[in-house]
Amino acid sequence: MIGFSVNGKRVDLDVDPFTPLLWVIREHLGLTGTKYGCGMAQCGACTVHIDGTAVRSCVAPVSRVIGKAVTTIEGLSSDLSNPLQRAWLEEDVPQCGYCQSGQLMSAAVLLRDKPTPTDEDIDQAMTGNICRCGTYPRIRRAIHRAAGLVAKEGTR
Amino acid sequence: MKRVYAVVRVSLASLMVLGFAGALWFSRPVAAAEQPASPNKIAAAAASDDGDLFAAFVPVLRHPRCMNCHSQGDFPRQGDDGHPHTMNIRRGLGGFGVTSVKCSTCHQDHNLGGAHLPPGAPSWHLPPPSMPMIWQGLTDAQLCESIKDPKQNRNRNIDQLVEHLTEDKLVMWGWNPGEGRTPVPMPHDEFAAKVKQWQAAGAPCPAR
Repeated sequence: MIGFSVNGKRVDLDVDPFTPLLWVIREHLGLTGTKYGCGMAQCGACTVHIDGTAVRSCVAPVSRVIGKAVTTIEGLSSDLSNPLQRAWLEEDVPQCGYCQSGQLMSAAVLLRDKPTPTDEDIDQAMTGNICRCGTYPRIRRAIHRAAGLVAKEGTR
Repeated sequence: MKRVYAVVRVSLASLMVLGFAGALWFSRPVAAAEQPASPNKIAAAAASDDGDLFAAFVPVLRHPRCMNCHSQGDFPRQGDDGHPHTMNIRRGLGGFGVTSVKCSTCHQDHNLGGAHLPPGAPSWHLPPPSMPMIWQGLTDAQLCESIKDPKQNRNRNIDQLVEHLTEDKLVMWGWNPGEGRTPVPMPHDEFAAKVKQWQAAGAPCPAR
């Protein structure tokens, strides 16, 4: 059995330890907000957090998360109240939307580590998340907006 | 008469040979006269003059599998041509990447099967910015001195340095770099033996 927590809930699964975490999240747990993009850590669509670190779940074997805390896009907030989600809506960031859960999960780690990021901080943090619709300028604006919300309201 | 000349010539020649032998005897070092050196020590002493013992394994250190993380710039490199890591990956504060782009974001503690998938080993990271251990652009002598210098090698003494070179799992990855990557150009056993021979000789560095 492989035991870990997902979005605060303990799960114990009888799966091959080499199964990619993304498969477990989507197929075994039914959390389909995390997307399959390239399957080789090249695009960032599958980004989740493992103990607070952004990780490409398509290449991480589920054995890596034994005893650890996994957060998916569904765990960012239960009601879209996370400042990043609000900023994303206010800036109307997504076009097709496929990459956006990965973008948000990377942005969440950035804001936790750098509450007032510069453009360079954003570029460096978001560099591994590809958007074929080219929403990068809106992503950058939304991250600045979310940082402003956090500074104003004191929550992240 | 001819026979007398011949005897005199042989005698003079014998004296000259004995004279040379005596001069060599008196001019040799006392220690060498009292204790025969082992063949290894003789070889080591001879090599230490020109740094051959270090030069014997330096091709491993200069190979892209090592140099891609010991290169100039605040970023890792990739491939046998040492191009900057795609995606503009940065070294970060501890050498483990920045905010949401840590090395462990993509790299596991093992290689992933298949071409172009991220390689991996335990504690995949770059040297930290406070001690970046940049080898690119150094001569053999400079490289030798820098890896021996505790101020440049994360406070390792020679024993710890040799352990890092021959046993560290991240270094050992160079012999098993995964599909599509050239391994370092020397069997590990041979490399370890050469490093230890260098260590035994007092870790001599080339003159330049």
